[in-house]
Amino acid sequence: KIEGNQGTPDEIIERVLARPYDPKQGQGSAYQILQVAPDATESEITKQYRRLSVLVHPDKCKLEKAAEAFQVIVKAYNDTKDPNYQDKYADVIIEAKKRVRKEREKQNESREKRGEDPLPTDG
Amino acid sequence: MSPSPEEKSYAVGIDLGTTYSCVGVYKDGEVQIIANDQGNRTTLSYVAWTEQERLLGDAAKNQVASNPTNTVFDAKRLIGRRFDDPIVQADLKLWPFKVVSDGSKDDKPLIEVFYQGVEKRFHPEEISSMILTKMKQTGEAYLGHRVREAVITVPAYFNDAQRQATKDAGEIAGLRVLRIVNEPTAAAIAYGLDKSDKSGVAEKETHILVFDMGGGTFDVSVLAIQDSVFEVKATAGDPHLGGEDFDNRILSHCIADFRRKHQSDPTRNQRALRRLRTQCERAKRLLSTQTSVTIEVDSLHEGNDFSIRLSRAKFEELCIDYFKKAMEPVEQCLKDSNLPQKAITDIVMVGGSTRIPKVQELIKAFFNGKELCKSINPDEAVAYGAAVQAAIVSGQGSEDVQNMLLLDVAPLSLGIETAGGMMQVLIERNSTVPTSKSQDFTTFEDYQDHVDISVYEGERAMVKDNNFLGKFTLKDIPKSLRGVPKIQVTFTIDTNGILQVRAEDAKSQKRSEIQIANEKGRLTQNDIQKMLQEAEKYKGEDEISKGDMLAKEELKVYMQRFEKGIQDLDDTKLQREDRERLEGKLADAYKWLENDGLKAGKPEFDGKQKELQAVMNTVMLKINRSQTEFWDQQVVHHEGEKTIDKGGFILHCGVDIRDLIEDPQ
Repeated sequence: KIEGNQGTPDEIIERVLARPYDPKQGQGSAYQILQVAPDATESEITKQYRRLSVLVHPDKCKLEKAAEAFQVIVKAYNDTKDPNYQDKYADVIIEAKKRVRKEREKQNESREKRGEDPLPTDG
Repeated sequence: MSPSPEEKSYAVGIDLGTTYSCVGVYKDGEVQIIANDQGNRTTLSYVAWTEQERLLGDAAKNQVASNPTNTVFDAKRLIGRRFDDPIVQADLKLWPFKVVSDGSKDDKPLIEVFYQGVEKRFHPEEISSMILTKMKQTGEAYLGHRVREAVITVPAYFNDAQRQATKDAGEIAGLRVLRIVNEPTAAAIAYGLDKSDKSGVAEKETHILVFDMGGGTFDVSVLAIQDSVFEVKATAGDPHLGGEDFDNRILSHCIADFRRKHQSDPTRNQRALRRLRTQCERAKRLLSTQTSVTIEVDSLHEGNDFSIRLSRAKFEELCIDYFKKAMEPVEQCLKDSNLPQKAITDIVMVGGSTRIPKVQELIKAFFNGKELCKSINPDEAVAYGAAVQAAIVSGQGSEDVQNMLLLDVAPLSLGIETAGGMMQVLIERNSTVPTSKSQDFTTFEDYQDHVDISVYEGERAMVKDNNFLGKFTLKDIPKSLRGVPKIQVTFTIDTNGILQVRAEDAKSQKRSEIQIANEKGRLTQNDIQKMLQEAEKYKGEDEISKGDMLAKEELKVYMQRFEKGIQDLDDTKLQREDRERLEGKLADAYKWLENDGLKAGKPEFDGKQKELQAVMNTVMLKINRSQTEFWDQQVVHHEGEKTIDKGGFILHCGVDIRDLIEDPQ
């Protein structure tokens, strides 16, 4: 579940800082920052977090943006451990599912008019 | 940054302790703990001023009984604190040296001593810098190179001001402080390296608890170790709890006993207190291995001898509240780390006070009888870890060290005061550093054109219960209704655990920032520069005084030879009046040495020696003259004789026939 190659410190910093990370505003995903699957176990996530830390911690990496990138990684790691964040992630999924259902119901209305079979709405 | 080979310089790790300090260096793939000039691997954190010179380390402690008011220790208990701090006020009563306030609004404490008849005042940072200088010199003597950079350790539970002040002390000592590292974290590195030497690098995650109780401070940290990454999970402690507190309890016990036995009070007699304290400390140490000791001081006060038998049980009874108090941070730390008790694989004991059997017993009981890890040296582990961290940060270590990483945390929550005196936390305690956090605030009243931002640290809800760090003002906010302006406050903690605060008004882009401890009790850059010069002067003085001592010794040796010379000359050669003249001169010289010699320097000693030499020479010349006149005519001049430009002769193959005759008589 851990992606084997994290890349060079350069690449990690660029990737981490490419987009703003602020889950409260619905921006970015902790799992994407850490490059782990959302269903990875806690110890897998921790291990990956430490691997990334060794590469970009300002003690190890003298690049200008290292401290900034490291802080984002720490924040993402802490968020994965936060039960509220997991819920928020679930919220996103539920939202998405609701949207899909509404969409489908709309489609089904028009399908009904055309006499076609309805699409499943609990997808 | 790699130094060029000709000016090779090492980065050392220094454990700057309350009572003892220790220095280590990572060299040739391993850590060396460096012994001082006395051969001790730890150096007492003492500085003393005598009539003649400044003494550092062990030498300072050795003369403490005869010079108690000018012998300074415990600077770590003062550093980064205000004079009116209740802890400082309580400690004051126990110190034989004098501490006064600097009278400024910061209320900084100053240590007052008498040196060469003049009253001198020092900041605690300066005292610490002197100890650091001693450690630096110890390192330089061993390495044979300049030491310019250092990692210095502080208790994990030290606050922002105390960290800043320690860093300043390093700068005054002429060191570039690469990093301020937490003591238990440093000890964990020593433990981790020790473990990986024995069983290879652990792929699996392990959790350890470091229990660090030294002379003056107490820390607990829980760490996770995996693949040479050391991650601090939580830290807790008491910055004012350690061996010295136990010494004080024994001391009070002894004083009470003395009062009862002799109906007299020795508490005003600093010399007596110091002598008794030394014996109390010794007794405490002995009680770690034996079950009872006798504390004895002859003629302690008003001619009364003092003797008391102290059992280990009595000692434990005297200090049990302290020991129990030490268990609270352990519980707190474990709770903060979100780990169950059984997840802790090792309990690492560091610091001299962990040798106390009762302390070991209590912590063992807390962990349901789990064996404690005592495989690392409790006195040296912190300096060992600091040396490794110095190698990591300066990039000097071997590969296994270069792969190591320390993830440390901020020990206290940090925040600002908001309406109603509430504490708004920006950075939670145990956040991994470096870290930064921003939050938006707004104005409280209509047309408010400035905001005061007061920064606090601590865990309580109201700011008045927390520790005030500093205050700054953001001015010239464009006037508008309350609640409209957006002021962004950003807290940044660097890898040293030192805080920087910035406030910015979103609309006007007005900025204001402080390195927070600047405001509170911290020395300004100017102060540091001044102290640095002062320290240089001292270094010069130390060297001069070293030269003085040498000259004095030389003079003494010459006087002994002089004395023997007079005795060796018999009356046939030395006339009586000459003998009396020589003996008179010698007696004068002895008298001079006893009186004026105490304040004299190298020129005076050298002068005195020349004076004696001159007298001796004239007398000797007189004795030898008759013979000299005779023998001079016997010198054989050979043909190779040559004149030289400035007159005089060089004898190319002249032989003084005196050399050919065994006995000129």
